[in-house]
Amino acid sequence: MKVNRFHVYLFIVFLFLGFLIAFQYQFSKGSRIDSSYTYSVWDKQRELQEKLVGQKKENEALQQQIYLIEEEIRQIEQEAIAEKDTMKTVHQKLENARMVAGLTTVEGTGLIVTLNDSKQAKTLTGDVSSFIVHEQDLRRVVNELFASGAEAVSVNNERMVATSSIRCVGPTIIVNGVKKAPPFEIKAIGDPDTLLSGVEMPGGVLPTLRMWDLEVSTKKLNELTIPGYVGQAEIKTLSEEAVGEDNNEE
Amino acid sequence: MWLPVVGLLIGIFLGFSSDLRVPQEYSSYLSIAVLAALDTVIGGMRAALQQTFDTKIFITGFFFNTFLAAAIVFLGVQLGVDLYLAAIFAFGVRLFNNLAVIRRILLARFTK
Repeated sequence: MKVNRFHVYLFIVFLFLGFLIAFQYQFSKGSRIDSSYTYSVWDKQRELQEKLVGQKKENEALQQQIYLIEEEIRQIEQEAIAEKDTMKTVHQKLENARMVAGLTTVEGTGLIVTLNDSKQAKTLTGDVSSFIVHEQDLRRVVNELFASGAEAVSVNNERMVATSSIRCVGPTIIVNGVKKAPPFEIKAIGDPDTLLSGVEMPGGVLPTLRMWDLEVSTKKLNELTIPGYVGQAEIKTLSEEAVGEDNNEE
Repeated sequence: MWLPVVGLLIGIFLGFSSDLRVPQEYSSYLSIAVLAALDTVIGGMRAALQQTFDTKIFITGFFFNTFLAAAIVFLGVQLGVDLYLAAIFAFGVRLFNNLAVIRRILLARFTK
């Protein structure tokens, strides 16, 4: 077969042309793949966006939940406040009970009665018994004060409580288990006038004591402080009666 | 006429089989080169049909045009001007002109 020179040239040219075209085709295909890659990126982006939207929705739902829970908390708090109120009442009652029981320091208007031995007791020789303050005098004063509506009474700052005792031991008087010596200062909280008229009742406590020449003085006060009972009330044999139980044993 | 066809096929095969990767910034060079080569070949066909075909002109035109196209693109990149658009435009216009001429010649030949 005759090979034309012209054909050889054409061969070379077409070789190049084919190479270039094929190469370019392949290249653009590659870039198409690239573009499809970007599409996949877009897809991914969209996917992520959808995820984000979903997450936002979830967040919203959770927020709603938080809101509900907060509402619940508020309700519970309200209940707690109501409970607190009852607690407060209970506390108040307890405080009152303590005050009445004489466990707390209290203050109010009241009366101070001071008793002291007669001056004659120091100068007299022999039996001075009639001229000194006895424990029964104290008891009578305290008794009279309570009878006149005193809410709290103390003898030389010893608070009179349910288990208080006033005892005579030699030259001293033991109040609440603590030795006390004259002068005796008896404080009482209550209406000062009523208390005063109670103890100054004709033929009553103080006039009788004055008859024995004891030193007696009274003082009405607008502000009087009485300390609480310091000792401990031991409960050994006490027990509360069971409520609702029939106790008809005679 | 079989030799150029074989050449074309071999070229296509080589182009497909080569896993040469051209960086993205050189892709415009390649596309312009392809366009220039196509333009030259179409121009050669027209010349052949017009009986004015010159092998030297064809061969030199092919390589020179391809190289020149790439050079113009390079210059455009250096200057910051999209000169490859000018190249594409020029080659495109010439391509269409040549194709139109070929069509007319063939048409005249068949209708004769």
